[in-house]
Amino acid sequence: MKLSPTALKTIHDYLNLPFIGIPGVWCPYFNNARLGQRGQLKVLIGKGTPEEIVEEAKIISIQYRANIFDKNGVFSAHVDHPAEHEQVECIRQFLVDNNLGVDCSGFVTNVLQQHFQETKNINLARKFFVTSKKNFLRWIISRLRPVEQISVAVYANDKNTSIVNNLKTIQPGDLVVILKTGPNKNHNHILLIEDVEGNKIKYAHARTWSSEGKYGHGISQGTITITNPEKGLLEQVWEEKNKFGEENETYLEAKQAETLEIRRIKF
Amino acid sequence: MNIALIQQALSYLIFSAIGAFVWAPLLTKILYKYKITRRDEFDFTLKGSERNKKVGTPIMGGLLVIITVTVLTILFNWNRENTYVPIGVMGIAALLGATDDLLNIFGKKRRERKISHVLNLIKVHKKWYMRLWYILILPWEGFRRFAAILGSHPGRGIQVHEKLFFQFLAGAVTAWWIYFKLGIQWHSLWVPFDGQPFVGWWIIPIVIFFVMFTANAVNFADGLDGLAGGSLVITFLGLMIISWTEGRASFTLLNATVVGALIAYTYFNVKPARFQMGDVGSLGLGALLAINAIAINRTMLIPFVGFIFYVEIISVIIQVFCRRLLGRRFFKMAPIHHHFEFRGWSEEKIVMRFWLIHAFFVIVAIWMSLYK
Repeated sequence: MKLSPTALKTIHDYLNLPFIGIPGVWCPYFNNARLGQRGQLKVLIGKGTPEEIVEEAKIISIQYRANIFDKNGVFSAHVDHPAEHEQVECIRQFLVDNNLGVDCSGFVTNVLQQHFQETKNINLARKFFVTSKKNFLRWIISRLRPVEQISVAVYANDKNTSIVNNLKTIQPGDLVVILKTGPNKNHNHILLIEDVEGNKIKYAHARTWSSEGKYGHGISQGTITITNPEKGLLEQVWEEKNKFGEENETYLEAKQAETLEIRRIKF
Repeated sequence: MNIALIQQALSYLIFSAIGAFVWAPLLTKILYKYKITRRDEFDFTLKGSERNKKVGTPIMGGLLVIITVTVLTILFNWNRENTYVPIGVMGIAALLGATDDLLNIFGKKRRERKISHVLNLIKVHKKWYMRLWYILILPWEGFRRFAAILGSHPGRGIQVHEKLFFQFLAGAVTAWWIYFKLGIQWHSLWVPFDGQPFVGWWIIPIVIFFVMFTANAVNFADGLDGLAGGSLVITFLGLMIISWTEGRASFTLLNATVVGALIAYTYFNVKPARFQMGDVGSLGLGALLAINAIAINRTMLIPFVGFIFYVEIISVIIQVFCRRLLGRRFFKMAPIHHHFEFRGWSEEKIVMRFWLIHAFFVIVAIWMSLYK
């Protein structure tokens, strides 16, 4: 079993944002928690789709005269950045400087939206339980802006997902939910299982590693090799960007977490 | 038909146009001398490569129309019953716009204060009278914050909440004049094809709404060379014809004077603009548009005589609504003329198409106004 073709294409688009003629611009990570913007565009609070991020980048470039793109959306800073990798770096720097990126739950939601729409004709964001009607204002907001309201905590809610205990039964579309992690135990993270081949689990996520500085973060893929299914997830071999063990900061986050679960969406 | 009146109106129009043409170079010189020009650091409108050329263009060119109309009206068309209040309210709105224009150039960046900050001050300020003061101004601060959320960039000039307050004041003066000074027949609202239902004191909020809405609408349309100026020529020409058919001499002459001055202004404002209208012109003329339509009891025609301005402001409202509530853009950028620029339309194409569409709806307004 695999994720649907459109879901896989969405992951591919996050890894290669659809800028005209510039492949390889992977989407940066952006989390709105630091800025705390309210009532802002979905794409400016880390919940945008690849297409929305590209469109907003073009608008910002023209509006604030950054001269990165011309009015047809074509990259126009060739002269300053002749090499392709320099062009990619230039665009990524522009995206990061303008708070354009996606957070972990935004990435997972936008990919799974496509998967559930294609395979089950379900609008996942609308199906999720975010809050009860008792909290009326928040409930209304969750109806108007569903994707923006879906956080890791929503994925960890038993009303939306159930725990997968057996590592052998993991399937694409399952989620690795990491709650209360980091040195201060104050943030959550989520990984999306993209593919399962034998004992290798391939995941994708939006993340920021401290070792990669201001501009190096973004959508990334990694694998967990199940060496002993009887043991827990942390006992398996995690690899991402050729880093293993605690050098792999995703593994480190999972290790530091108060809660580490594999969850499956109920719908 | 009163041919003498239209002859007189056309004389005013010609005289006003010649007058404005004569002193336009002087105004340009003054604006350059005092560096009242467009600067890029506070300009948040579309800034594609084509638009870079607009940096350094004088703003407050609207003074050409405001001053010409005011002087000529005071000299040749001044009467307490008819032109006193329209010119006064136009003056208030223009003053507000001028202050905004000047602060945008010479002012300091305005500070944004959140409600939570004020609430904290109420709790922790060491002086009791300051705590009391912050309690008293809390509703105003709430209004300010709400207006800031609706607007996108606080910038340096007058902030949204202050603009709304002064525009409300201008609307209230107009409403007072209409309701208390112009007589009982103005307590009825002319409705196209439906006679004149009596609305009584409801005319007051209706007038305030139209004055505020229209002034802002014209302000939003002032974003491309020639767009606001050319559209206002068509609008006031329409109002002149409607006033003439209604036999309202003072307003026919006032509208004719505005058309004349606007012709001169638009001549200098078409691309590449020698100067731009600025808030001084757009807010002042927007208010005058509303008042002149209300004063000839054609309030309900304002969305038609000001069609393109209403399209512009409604595009902004839709954009803000979608952005704040739904988290997405409805247009690539608002007001709508910027959306078409993003779609690749040239400035000239947008302006001329908007003029034509606007002219069509002004003709519709004239046609509707003939049905009593």
